[in-house]
Amino acid sequence: MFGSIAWATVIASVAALLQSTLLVKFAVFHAVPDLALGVLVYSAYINGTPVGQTVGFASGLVIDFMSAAPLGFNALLRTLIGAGAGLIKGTFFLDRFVLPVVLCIVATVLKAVVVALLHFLFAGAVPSYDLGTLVLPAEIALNAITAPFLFAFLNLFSRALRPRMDS
Amino acid sequence: MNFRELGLSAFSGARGAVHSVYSFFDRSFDSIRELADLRRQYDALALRLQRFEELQRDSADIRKENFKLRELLGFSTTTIVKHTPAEIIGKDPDNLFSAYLVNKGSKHGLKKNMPVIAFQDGNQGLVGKIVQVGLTESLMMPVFDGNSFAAVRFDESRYEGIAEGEGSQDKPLLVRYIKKRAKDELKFGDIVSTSGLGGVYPKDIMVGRVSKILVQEYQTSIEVELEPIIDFSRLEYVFVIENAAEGVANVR
Repeated sequence: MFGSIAWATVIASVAALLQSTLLVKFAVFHAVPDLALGVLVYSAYINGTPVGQTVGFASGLVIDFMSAAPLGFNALLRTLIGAGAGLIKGTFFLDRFVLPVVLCIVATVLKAVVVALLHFLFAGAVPSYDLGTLVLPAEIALNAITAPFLFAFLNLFSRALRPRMDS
Repeated sequence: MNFRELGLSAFSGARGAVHSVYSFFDRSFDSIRELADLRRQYDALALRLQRFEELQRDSADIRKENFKLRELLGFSTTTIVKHTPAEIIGKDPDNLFSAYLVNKGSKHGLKKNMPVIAFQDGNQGLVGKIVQVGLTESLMMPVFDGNSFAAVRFDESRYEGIAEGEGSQDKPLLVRYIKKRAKDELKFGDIVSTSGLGGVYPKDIMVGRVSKILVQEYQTSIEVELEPIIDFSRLEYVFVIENAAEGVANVR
């Protein structure tokens, strides 16, 4: 279990690094795909809640370091998403196209809902998605488009990311 | 160095490395096109240089006169703020936040809350301020961020206000708390600059131009929308300067 947590965290961190440096140059309506979220959803869906929330917390903390977000913001957000994705582990057959797209859309919408809740709870100290702009729809669309490719890529590392029999 | 700065420092090199690799390939492709552009620009610049040489002769006389007048008034001739040039190498990985990543950190003398300016189309404009400093990289909050506030003054009418961002670079800046009697003196296109109050931004850095004046009868102050001086979509290089509290360094 420790190995799959470590590998998923490393891949999510690299994804966040790419989001921050390369993908921003190809942003659509100032939005870039949240690849780190896709990695988290994949890892949580195939490993379950304990791994999902741990990867969510660790990758969220790494993103907090790279971001201007308050320390712990992404850690909390992604822990919740990881736990949520882990709850439905193995419920549906993980195909190549439909489920990755659906999982990433649902995770992005869940992210927006949790962010809105935090924005409300902390009286505006935390920003939320501005529904007057196209950032959220663009992020949902980009996450959906990249999901099948990301999941296919992560399948190449399935031995490192999937739970082992001896763990 | 606190825990958060340690975290940013840990990823400093990695993001710089990715940016360097991308830049290498990007520049290689661009260089072919740039050669043709450079030739054209060289011819145009040679012509401009000739004109500037003529202007320089007039300008030397004006500068001499200006120097004398300033001396009489007791002002320093030129005040240049100590600055550190930096390149924007990335942005916040999260779409919710608008921070920019610059390639200079505490190693280069950067500190939290240092103002950031840029030169664009011959104008010196306010870009934002440093919010987090790593060893070799820092995060900069732009003026359009929802948490950005700057004390400003209208260049013509001298009224003061607070400019704040609306969270998106596509949206204008909003200046609040302007006295209601200013409504007849404000004009579209007026330049708004930092007032120097608040201790973060030095005074007289251009922030934006008035694009809309919002007067509500029931409010005690008026609001003005600004079009930022800096076009953030074209921003590549910035200057991190000493903040207002630390003062400016006179070089002459």
